[in-house]
Amino acid sequence: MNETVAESTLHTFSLATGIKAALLMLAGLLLANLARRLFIRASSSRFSAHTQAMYSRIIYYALLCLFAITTIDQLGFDVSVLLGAAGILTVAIGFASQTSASNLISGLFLLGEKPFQIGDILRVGSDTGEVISIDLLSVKLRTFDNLFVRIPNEALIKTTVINLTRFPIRRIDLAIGVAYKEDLKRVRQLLLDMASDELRVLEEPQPYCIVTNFGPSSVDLQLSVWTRRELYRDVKSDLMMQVKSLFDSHGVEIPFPHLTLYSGSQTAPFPLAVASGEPPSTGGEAPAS
Amino acid sequence: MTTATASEHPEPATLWDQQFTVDGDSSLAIAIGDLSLCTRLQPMEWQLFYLWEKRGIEGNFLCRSQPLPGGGELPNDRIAMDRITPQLRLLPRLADRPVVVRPYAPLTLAANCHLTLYVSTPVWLQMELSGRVLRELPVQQLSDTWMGNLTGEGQLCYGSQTHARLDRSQLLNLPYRVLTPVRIHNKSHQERRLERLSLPTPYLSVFASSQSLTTEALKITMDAEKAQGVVKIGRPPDNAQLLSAPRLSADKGILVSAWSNLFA
Repeated sequence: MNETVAESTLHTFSLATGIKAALLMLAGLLLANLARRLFIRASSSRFSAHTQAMYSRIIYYALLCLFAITTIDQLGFDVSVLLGAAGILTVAIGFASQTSASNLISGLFLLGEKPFQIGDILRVGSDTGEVISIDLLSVKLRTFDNLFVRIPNEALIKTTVINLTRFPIRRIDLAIGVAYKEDLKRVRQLLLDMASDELRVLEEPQPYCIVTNFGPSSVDLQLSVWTRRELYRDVKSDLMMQVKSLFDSHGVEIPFPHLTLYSGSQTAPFPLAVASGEPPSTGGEAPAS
Repeated sequence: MTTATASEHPEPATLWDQQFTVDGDSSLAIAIGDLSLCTRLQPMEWQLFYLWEKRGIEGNFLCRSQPLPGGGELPNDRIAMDRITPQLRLLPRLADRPVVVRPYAPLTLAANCHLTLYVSTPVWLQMELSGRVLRELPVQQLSDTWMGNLTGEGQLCYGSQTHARLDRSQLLNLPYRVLTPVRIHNKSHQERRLERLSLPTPYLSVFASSQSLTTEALKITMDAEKAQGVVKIGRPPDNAQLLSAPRLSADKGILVSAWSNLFA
C-alpha cells in the first residue's frame, strides 16, 4: 500500500516538474529570441551588420544557456555533476567532430579579427561574391551570377582572402600595346590627357603611364588611374573604349601579334622560287603500292 | 504662365532668392555655369532635362521661359507627386564633400605669416519642386580626388584648381561660384609650400553679399610641428543674407584635422 502511494507521489512530482521545466525552457527560448530582436532593433544605427550579428548571437546563446542550466536544476539534477559529465562528453564529441570544432574556433577568430564584414565583396580562390552571412561554422557568399557559396571558416583561416571593398578607392591598371613606330612620349601624353579629362578618375593619386615591356609585337604600356571602388568596373571598361577611340582618331596603331622570320645576317635568305606548271596536288588518292 | 527672370548682373541675393511659377504651356530653361537645365511641369510630375557643357568663366546665370522641348527626348529625371503645385525655387548649396583646391601655380607661404587667400568653388543648384522635393545638380562638374597620405586612410573629396588670389579686387564674382576667404596662419619658423588645401564645404553656409555669393571666412592654422591643421569657421559676413545653411555642423565651429587631410 505504502509503495503504491510513494510511486504515485513520485509520478505526480515528475510530471509537475517536467511541465515546469518545459515551460521554463520555452520561456527561455522566447526571451532569448525577444532579446536578440530587441538588440538588433536598438543597435541598428550604432553597429555594423557584422558586429550586430555577432553580439545578437552571443546574447541569444547566453540566455539560452542560462535557462537550460536553470531547467536542469529545476528537474533536480546536480548541475556541477552534469557540467563535469558535459566536459567528458565535450571531449568525446570533440574527437568525433574535429572538423566542426575547427570551423567553430576559426569562426570565433574571424569574428574577432574582422577581416571582412557582411556586405563586403570577397575573392576566395576562384569565387568572388558579396558576404551575406558570417556564421560560426561557415561564411556564405552570393556571387555576381547569383550563386550561393558556402565556405567553411577553417578554409578561410588557411587561405588567402581578398577583400575588394575594404578601402574606398582602387587602382585600375590598363595594359596597352602600341606599335614600335609610335612616338612613346606623344602616346603617353595622349593617355594622361584622356585620364585627366575623365571626371571619375581621381586627380590624386595622380594617374601615371609607364613602359613595361618591349613585347614581341608591341611596346607595352601601363596606364594606372585611381577611382572610387564602386565605379571600378564601369570606369575600367569606359577607359578601354576611350583608348581605342583615342588611338583611332590620332592614328596610333594597336598592333596585332605578328611573327617575323629572320634567318640572320650571316646566312643566305630563304630560297623562294616560283614553280611553273600545275600546282602540286595536296589531296587525292594514295599511290598504289 | 511662366514667371522667369533673365538677369544680366543683378545682386546675388535678388538673383537667387526668387520663386518661379511654371505651368504646362511652357518650360523653364536655366543656364548656369556649365549646366543647362530645363524643367517641365506635367500632370502629376516634374520632368528635368539637363546636361553640362564646359563654358569656363563664360557661363552665366540665366532663367527664361521657352516652348516645351519637342521630339521624343527622354528626361533625365521624373519626379511624381500626388499634390503638385507649379512652384520652383532655386537655392545655392555647397558641395556635399570637401573640395580640395590646388593653386594653378605653386604658392609658398613665408614663415610666421598671416594672409588671406580668396578661393571660389562652384555651387550645387538646389531645386525645390512644389515645395516638397529637392534635387541638386552641380553647376560645374568636379572630378573626384583623394585627400590623405595613404590610399587606405583619407577622405574622398572633389578636386578643383584655384588662382588663390590674395587681392579681392581681382576676383571675377561669378554668380555661380561661392567665395571663401581663407585666413592662413603659418605658425612654423620655416616657409611652407601650399600645394593643396581642403575646404570643408559641407560645414559652410552660403550667403549673398552685395558682390558675390560668399561663405564664412575660414581661419586655418598650419602647425607643421604637430602635423595638424586647425580650421576655425568664422562668423557670418556682415550685411549678407543667408541663403542656405551648412550640411553638417562643426563642433564649436572648430575642425582639427591631420596635416595630410588638409594640406598634403
